Amino acid sequence: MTRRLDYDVLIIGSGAGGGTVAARLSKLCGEGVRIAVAEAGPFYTREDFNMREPDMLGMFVDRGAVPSTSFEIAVTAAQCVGGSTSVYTGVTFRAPEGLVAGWASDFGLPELREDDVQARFSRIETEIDAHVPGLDYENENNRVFRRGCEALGLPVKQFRLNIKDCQRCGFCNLGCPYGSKRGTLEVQLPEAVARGVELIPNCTITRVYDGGAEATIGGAPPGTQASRHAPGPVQFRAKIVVVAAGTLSSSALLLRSQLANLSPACGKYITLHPALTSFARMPQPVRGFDGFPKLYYTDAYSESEHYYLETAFYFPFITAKSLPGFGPEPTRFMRSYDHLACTIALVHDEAEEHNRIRVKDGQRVLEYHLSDSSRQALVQAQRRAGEIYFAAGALEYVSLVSDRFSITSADELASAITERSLVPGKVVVSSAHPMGGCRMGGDPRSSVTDAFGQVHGHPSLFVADASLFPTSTKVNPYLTIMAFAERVAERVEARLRHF
Amino acid sequence: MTEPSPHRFFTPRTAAIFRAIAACIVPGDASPGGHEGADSDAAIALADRAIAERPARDGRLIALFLKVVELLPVLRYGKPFSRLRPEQQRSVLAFLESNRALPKLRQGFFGVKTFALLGYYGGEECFGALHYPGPRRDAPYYVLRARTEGAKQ
Ligand SMILES: Cc1cc2nc3c(=O)[nH]c(=O)nc-3n(C[C@H](O)[C@H](O)[C@H](O)COP(=O)(O)OP(=O)(O)OC[C@H]3O[C@@H](n4cnc5c(N)ncnc54)[C@H](O)[C@@H]3O)c2cc1C
Repeated sequence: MTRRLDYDVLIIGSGAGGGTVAARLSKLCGEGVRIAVAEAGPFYTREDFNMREPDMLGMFVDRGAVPSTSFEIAVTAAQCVGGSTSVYTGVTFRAPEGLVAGWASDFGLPELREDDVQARFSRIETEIDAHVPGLDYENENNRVFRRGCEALGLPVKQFRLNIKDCQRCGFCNLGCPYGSKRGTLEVQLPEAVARGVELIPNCTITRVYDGGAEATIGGAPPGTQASRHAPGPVQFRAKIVVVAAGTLSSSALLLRSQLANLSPACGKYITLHPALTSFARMPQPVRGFDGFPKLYYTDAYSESEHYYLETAFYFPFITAKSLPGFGPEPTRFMRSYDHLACTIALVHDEAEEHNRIRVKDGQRVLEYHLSDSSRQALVQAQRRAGEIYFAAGALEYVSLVSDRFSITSADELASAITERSLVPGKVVVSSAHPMGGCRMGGDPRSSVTDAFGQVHGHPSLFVADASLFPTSTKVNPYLTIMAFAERVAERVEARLRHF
Repeated sequence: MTEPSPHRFFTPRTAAIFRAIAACIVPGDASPGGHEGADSDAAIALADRAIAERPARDGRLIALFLKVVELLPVLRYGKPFSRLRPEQQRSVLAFLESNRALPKLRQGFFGVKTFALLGYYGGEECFGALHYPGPRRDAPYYVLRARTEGAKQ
């Protein structure tokens, strides 16, 4: 039998967007406002994170990644309490100056003001402990990148990270086992719950409508925390529904719900920051698994070649998966795991209508094609990363986009790394920054929500996550998502007062 | 009577095909004291668990692909994949990975390779060979379990 649960506000998803909305609205709980966060994924606490790759797959959407239909790219996102902030690295960027003003003018959003969003950034950064860490955080993996860049005269910039008492174990992407990473799991959700917001894990919303939603509550998987609700179908009644299910799911949920007058833009204009890792084997031990994985980036090629190069480091399986080919060569290379340095290139992709989420037979389908410009950027980024590593003294360099397994000198980079090697399905580009699908805009024919995340034509239905962005942020997006979610929360609060 | 399968996803037949592919992906080292490859029982068991826990449609595709890999070489070599010599097996897999005409075969190979790598590199057995210490034992997960174990004894 379907149970009915009544709230004033139902928030769908507990990631960067949903967690922020929950924290901001939680002050209303004292006035008797009933708020719930329905989260499809399980509830892992820091005590549940064991740093083993196969055990932690349960934190991710589809227990891994979601490939595009063309198999050119696969998107990683989390499905657990805290959403992707539970697996992110905590790299904290403000949206580049001018981006928000550009959205306002290009998409008919006069209520969107650059100074309003910029002011939110500094407040949120304080709340979540974002800061530039000391140079004692520099491990050899980061040092190699810095030295290579310096040798080539490239600017090296330090990330701001939102961490506190970090133990530098390097396992950020499998859930922070020490609770040092200040994502919504550790900051916004505990605050919201302490004030009276109810968090319902393992609760998948299947349909939304004006005034409520349908859902299925599942059992808690082993090694995770249960909720007070028994498994089974549930009908939520809520004055306001806030969809913050992330780019992979929010537009799919709206499309599945067959809402009246839903914009034809729903699901479209997805951007992904296509990314490729590459590796260098160094003569000295690197031990990238010890210490904070990401400290530096260079934006030297951002304007001219459309990507950032960032330091990175991954566990053995993810590392092996990012190597080309199979057999003795990658196996030999992996035997030098403790001598490997790693970098990731993040491409600034354009928002294009045909890159979209569709729903087919009730299932989400991701259609995304790398543009010529993104393909060229990926190839060029792989060459540039090789130059950096050879300048730092690498013995060999390995890239997925190469006609040979191993490149042993900078002179080989241009001839070995070419677009011809970027074959879909052989090279599956990765993405961890999906954005768009419910883009904001003034015109309901070409946008899904207004400047405050309200779905056009549905005054009690809001969106508050990465899917709001009309274009890519170019930079790692979580802080911008939180800032926009805060704006949505304020509008929801004002709307509640009307009921 | 047939032995019950130790696996959740693999049948004895698909396990044998997967094992043959996994041996090509991460070959073991046969020299004395050498390391096992991705065809070890532990690696196969981990891959089996990971596939079983994926959405059912992925499992169906993997099972189908394994059968295709087994039968495809009959056209060229007159023998199924699992009865080919190692160098012949490698060349079949290289074709599957790199061919430009049949994207579904590339995707299938990518999927199987991913699970073979997960089975091998996801398990702690390989960490010594990688000079990798593995998860830190001072994390709350391990500390709490050690305490509970201690209390039981
Ligand atoms: C490995 C990794 C590393 C990253 N590192 C960084 C970084 O260093 N810096 C940075 O800025 N960004 C980083 N990101 C990206 C960042 O985490 C995301 O951009 C951000 O968390 C997205 O916020 P969101 O609210 O849109 O979605 P999410 O945070 O993904 O949250 C969406 C939530 O909704 C839930 N949900 C989905 N469907 C339903 C449903 N039907 N019912 C109920 N719940 C549902 C999901 O389970 C999920 O928990 C990283 C991402 C990954 C995967």
